[in-house]
Amino acid sequence: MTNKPLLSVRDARVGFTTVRGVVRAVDGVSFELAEGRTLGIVGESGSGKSVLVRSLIGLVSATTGVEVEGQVVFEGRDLRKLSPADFRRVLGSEIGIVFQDPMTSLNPVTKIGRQIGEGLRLNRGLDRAAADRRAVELLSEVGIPEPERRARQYPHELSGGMRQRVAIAIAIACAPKLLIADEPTTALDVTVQRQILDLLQREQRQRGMAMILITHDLGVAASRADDIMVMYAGRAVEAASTREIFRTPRMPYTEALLRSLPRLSDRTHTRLTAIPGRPPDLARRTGGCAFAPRCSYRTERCDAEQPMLTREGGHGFSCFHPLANGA
Amino acid sequence: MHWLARQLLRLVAVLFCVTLVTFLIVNILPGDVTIVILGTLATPQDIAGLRADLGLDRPMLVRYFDWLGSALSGDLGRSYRNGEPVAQAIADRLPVSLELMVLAQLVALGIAIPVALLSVRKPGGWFDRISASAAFGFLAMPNFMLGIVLIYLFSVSFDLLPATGFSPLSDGLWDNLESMILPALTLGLIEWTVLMRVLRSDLLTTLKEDFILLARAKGLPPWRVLLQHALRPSSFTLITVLGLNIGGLIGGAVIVEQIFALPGVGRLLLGGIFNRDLILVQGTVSFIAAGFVIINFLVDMLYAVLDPRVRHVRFRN
Ligand SMILES: Nc1ncnc2c1ncn2[C@@H]1O[C@H](COP(=O)(O)OP(=O)(O)OP(=O)(O)O)[C@@H](O)[C@H]1O
Ligand SMILES: [Mg+2]
Repeated sequence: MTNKPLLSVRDARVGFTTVRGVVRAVDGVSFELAEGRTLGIVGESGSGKSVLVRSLIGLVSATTGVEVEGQVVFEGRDLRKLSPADFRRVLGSEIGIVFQDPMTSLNPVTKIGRQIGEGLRLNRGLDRAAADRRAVELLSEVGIPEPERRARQYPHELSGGMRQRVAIAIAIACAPKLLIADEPTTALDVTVQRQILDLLQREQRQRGMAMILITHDLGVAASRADDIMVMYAGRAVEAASTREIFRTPRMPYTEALLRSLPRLSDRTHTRLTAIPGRPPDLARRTGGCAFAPRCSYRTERCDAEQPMLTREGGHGFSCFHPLANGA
Repeated sequence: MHWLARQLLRLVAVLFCVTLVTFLIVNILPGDVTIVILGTLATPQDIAGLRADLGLDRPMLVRYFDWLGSALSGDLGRSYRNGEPVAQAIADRLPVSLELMVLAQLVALGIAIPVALLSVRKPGGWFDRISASAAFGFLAMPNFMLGIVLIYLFSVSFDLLPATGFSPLSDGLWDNLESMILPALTLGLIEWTVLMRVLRSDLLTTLKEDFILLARAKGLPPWRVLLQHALRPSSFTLITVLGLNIGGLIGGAVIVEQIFALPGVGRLLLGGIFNRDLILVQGTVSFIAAGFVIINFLVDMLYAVLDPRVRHVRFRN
């Protein structure tokens, strides 16, 4: 925690221009991530988790206008100030990403070995033969049997779990310092979810990578993350170490999330049950706290004023009526 | 391989139907070859005699199966007018038509692919908008008109290329190409528009896929993402349209051969129709239909080459 951060994000904002107005999908999020640590980002669907991490690495795609703001410092370099070529070099060699759905994140018409080796040839200067050899090693490292044969196959010849292993092999191929995993298990069978998470964790430890793990699932976050950031309507509403979050949540939204989680001792991957009400329309922001309409502690002030993220020790939360410390 | 057998069987069935229908249509065409040959002053006896000589007095179906039997052994009969074997007449003119169509496709693809790739770099940008307008402009132009405009520009105004006539390859490659450039442009300049629109729209869909984001996350520069990751998975509709367009291309070639006086199969066919040379028309149309069906069959095979998933389904199941 006291290390100088590997990644530091300040006031990240992403707005999509749509016919309904500007959708503020990410609205002023700041966080830091130290080397080798895991940050879990949790929040309901649509809270801006994917857009946030994609904006960090310049991969927000939209048909209409997108506005991305804020500062992203990675290993002391301000990523938004790099030239496109330098940025691609950092992205390719030092940051890896695993997407949610392994059915769509691999190129359907390219052999698997080639897809793994591509980054190595580009960023590490390997020739084709060396990249192919390394791809086979990586396949075996991520637990794929008969790696030589698999390397010559196409994605559709593999199961979902296997494909996600391939996606992980691609992400770690160039030995990145940061791995971003955006709900890496949501699209998979329950039986393979745990294996994939174990694989991610093992690779992370062996390689000393930092990881951002996005999940819907507080159980997953509890068991895999060092720190947790809770997002709601494009904002970080609470951030602390995993232990703090679970022991003493300060933000009513986090409390509601925890309450909706059946029990911590339940098996992981139990989905969040709904909190009454719906998240707000991101194109129509009001002045107050975004969670207020669903909050049982709501007062007039909550509707009128936006609470700022307050810090008490290492624990940040944005609420006018925080739950008692140690409650 | 059982998929292949099914396809071949279908091919045979289609060819049978096509030749039969052609035969029926050709035979109800108004006009009479005997009058073309003997002139309007011929006596009824002369006409009847000639009809018997040509075998035209037999029932239509008998004549069809007779024709089909010979056709299967490669004999398409002899022209009623000059006795030249039809198969030979087609074979002599086929290279011209094939060259025209291949060059036209190359022109069309050579314009469509780069334009589509450049348009999707910035959808709605100036290049995208200009190329879209250009495409609609060309699409709206009938090919005979475009042919005449091209002749006017390149032959009449600047005298760069010959307006009509054909030089065989034996006259040298450049002479040959020179006589083919305008005809190929006439066809290709119209066809690229459809190909470009189709490819552009598929590229835009593909570019939203996660695997494109992943390719970008590997640090690949934008043009490599486009060429190596987006183009191939986006080309399936393009290929379908390419196959379907062969029909239009053949129709266009018939007209363009006429405009530029190219001695191709299309001109042979038109000559046959004007002269009521039914056996020649029958042979040429059947040949063109067979070519169309077979090319579509080959296009279908091309999917399997381009898309491993199709290969998988077809050849494993
Ligand atoms: N290209 C876009 N144009 C307009 N709005 C967008 C676009 N992409 C995302 N959004 C909006 O941004 C918000 C955040 O989306 P995001 O995908 O980050 O949510 P998420 O937290 O990752 O949800 P999930 O858990 O379902 O993955 C959503 O309300 C979404 O509708
Ligand atoms: Mg998401």
